[in-house]
Amino acid sequence: MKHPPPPGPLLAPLAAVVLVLGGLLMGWTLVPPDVQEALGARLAPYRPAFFLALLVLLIAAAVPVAWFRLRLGPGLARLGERLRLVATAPERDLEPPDMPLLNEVHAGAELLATRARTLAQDIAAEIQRSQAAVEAEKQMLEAVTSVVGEGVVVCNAQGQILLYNTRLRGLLEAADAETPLVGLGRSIYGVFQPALIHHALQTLHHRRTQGRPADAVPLVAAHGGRLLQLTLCPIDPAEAKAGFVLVISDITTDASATARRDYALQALTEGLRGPLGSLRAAIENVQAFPDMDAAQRALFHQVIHDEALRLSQRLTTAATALPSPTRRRVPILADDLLSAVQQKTEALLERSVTVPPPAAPTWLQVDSYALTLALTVLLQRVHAQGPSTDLHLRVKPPADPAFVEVELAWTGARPVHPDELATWRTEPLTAGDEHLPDTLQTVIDRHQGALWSRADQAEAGALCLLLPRAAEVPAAPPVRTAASTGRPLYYDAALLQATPDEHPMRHCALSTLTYVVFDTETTGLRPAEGDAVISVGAVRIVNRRLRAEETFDRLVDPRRPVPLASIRIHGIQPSLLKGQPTIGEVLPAFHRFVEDTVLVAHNAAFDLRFLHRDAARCGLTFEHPVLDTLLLSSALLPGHEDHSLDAVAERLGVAVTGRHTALGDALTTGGVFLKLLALLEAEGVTTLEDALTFSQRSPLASLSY
Amino acid sequence: MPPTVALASDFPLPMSHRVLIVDDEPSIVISLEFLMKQAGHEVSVARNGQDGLEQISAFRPDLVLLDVMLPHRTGFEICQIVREDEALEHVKIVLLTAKGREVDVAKGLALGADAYVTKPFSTKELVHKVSTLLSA
Repeated sequence: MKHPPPPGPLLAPLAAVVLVLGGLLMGWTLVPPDVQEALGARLAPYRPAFFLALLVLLIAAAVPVAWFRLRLGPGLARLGERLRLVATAPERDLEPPDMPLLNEVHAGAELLATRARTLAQDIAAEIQRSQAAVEAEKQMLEAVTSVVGEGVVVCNAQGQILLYNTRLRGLLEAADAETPLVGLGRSIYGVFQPALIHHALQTLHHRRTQGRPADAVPLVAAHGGRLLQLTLCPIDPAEAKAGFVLVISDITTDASATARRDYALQALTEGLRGPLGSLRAAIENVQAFPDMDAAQRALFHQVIHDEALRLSQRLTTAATALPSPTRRRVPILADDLLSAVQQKTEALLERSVTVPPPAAPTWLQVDSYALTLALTVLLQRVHAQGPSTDLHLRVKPPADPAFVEVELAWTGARPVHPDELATWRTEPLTAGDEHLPDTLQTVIDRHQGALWSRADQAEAGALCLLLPRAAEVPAAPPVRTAASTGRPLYYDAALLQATPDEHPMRHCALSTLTYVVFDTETTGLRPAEGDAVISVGAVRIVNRRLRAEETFDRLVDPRRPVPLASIRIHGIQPSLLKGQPTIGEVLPAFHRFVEDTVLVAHNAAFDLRFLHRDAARCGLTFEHPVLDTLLLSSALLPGHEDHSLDAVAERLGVAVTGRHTALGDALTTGGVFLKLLALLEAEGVTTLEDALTFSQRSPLASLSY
Repeated sequence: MPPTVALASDFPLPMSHRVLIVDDEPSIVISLEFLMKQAGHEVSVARNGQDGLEQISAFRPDLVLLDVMLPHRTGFEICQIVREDEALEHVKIVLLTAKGREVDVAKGLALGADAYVTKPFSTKELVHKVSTLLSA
């Protein structure tokens, strides 16, 4: 569908005249000269008439050309554009033709448009039926997931959220949070460290390659000051690319109660053992040696009195500090743990770590992520001390069946001095780009473990970590996998085929991208002269649908007067803005909202100038790809002059809501953008890169603001 | 529980050995000192970890009754240092502590202690354990 019609047919009448004249001229040259002279003399009186006839012939040939150029051509182009509009918005009527000549074409087009309308209605009805069915399934799923006490989130292999329940939002988002962290199409990595999820996925992969059931991995994560227990289950245990389900519960209260209880218990037992020991020894001595001298006896009586007193004081203190017992255990195979440490360390230090195969499966009760990181940090520290010739990581045959000893041994480098180890214990855990605020000792204490250094020789040493063995091997996986209960349901299964992250966004298909359509209201039109943003509104588009439940709507205190002229446009009274957050507070939240998306705005250049200026002040950058509906509309529909948001919305049959509020305009722009997307695809524009290039066709693209 | 009180007849005078008591708790030191002297040993007392370590070199004990939670150096550290010193190979170490978690016991034994006694303990059993270790 190309706009300028080929010039050939228009030039045809002119070409005919030139041909006739050429023929006559050639014929004339064939006539013998004497005849030419005689004919010339004979025709001389008719020469003016001849030239007049020639002129009339030329004009007669030029008139249809001019008529076609000036009248029929534009009429046809308008008709073409109207047809395309009707194709995009079939509910619109085809405007009557400007000239009777096109009546027949119009009638044919009208017939096609009616067919298209009927077809569109049928499709809409079918979509509605399917949506109702999906909605019913969704409601059922919501009902099921809402009665589950845990947060549930389903992600594709890239970590994009496909489904979640309301409990999840409650767990992950603070009650006063205005920016949602969780949303369809958003990344779970915005909530949890990628390393944590990768750790679980790698553990599953390791089990899969070992031919063991890869059904669930328990994890513990800190989030927003709370401790969460996560269970990661693959959607399909045999296929890593199918994505995963996370079941999340808050164990903060449990964990802190457990920690308090452990501490109180330890204080109680250790605090009582000392006085009791002294008391018992003194009493036994008095009994065993009745003949001891009076001074010695008095000494023991004093000890008995003092220690009995200390004992009752300790008991009173400890009893009040003891909370009720709760305990959560997360069993993991020692082999899984060591293999995770091995992979992490080898990648980080670029050297091999030997992990001998275990003699028998040994189960541990641990927070595998924290412990993996702790062991990796230890290996890293040992490696940093000097280049050892070999590093071994193994589970030693335990002396005490209640424990498992993990031994990290090396040769070719000196042993770790206890003072050095004492320093390591107090430092937070950091390995590569992974980080936990806990110190090594906190992690060991949380596991009721013990760590020490062993010197084997001057150039050989070991670190020994004693950990509690899991009471029993877990018989069944803690959570049933989705695959075992039949085909899982998704709100947005199309996201499963989401673009792999190794491809830059600009080569992605327009239909697969996530967009944030936004608009700002400002105090005026000149950012360079101190005009400021007073409102930001935005809405997400995921899978070609406006997500009305995922919007961003904030007023901003501009910290400057709001001119009357701008109040007439946006209607926001300055009193409303007083005390609202400043742009410095709103912009970081907006930055999070638009993470990993394509930005869309109408006349984006205007909003972007404000955005870039304010972002620079907050130390942020917006390097997102940007699509401008103004440019797209003028490039797609060059026959129209008015490309204001109102005009484009009216033209494309988009309902206008809340015009001149930032969110209202963003929603309208979103509707317009979805229609333009359909037109772009009809033009063969399918990737983001194509769309950006296509925008440049707009005559407005070269203007600067 | 069987009676665990030691009677004077339980303490036949054996060969005299040198016993070092390392503990910062005076009440228990009184009893330990008394018991070891009754058993016929030559006794010395250290009140903190550093002092204990110095006395192990100076007093050259055959056996150390070693508390774990000590000022300056923990009993675990002292135990480890003694075990790494070949000249002190013969020194028997009895960890005598209020740290009763199983993991502490396991750690103490892994670090080379000959016995781990959790407070409160039976005086009779302690004396028996000490004499067994010394006659071994």
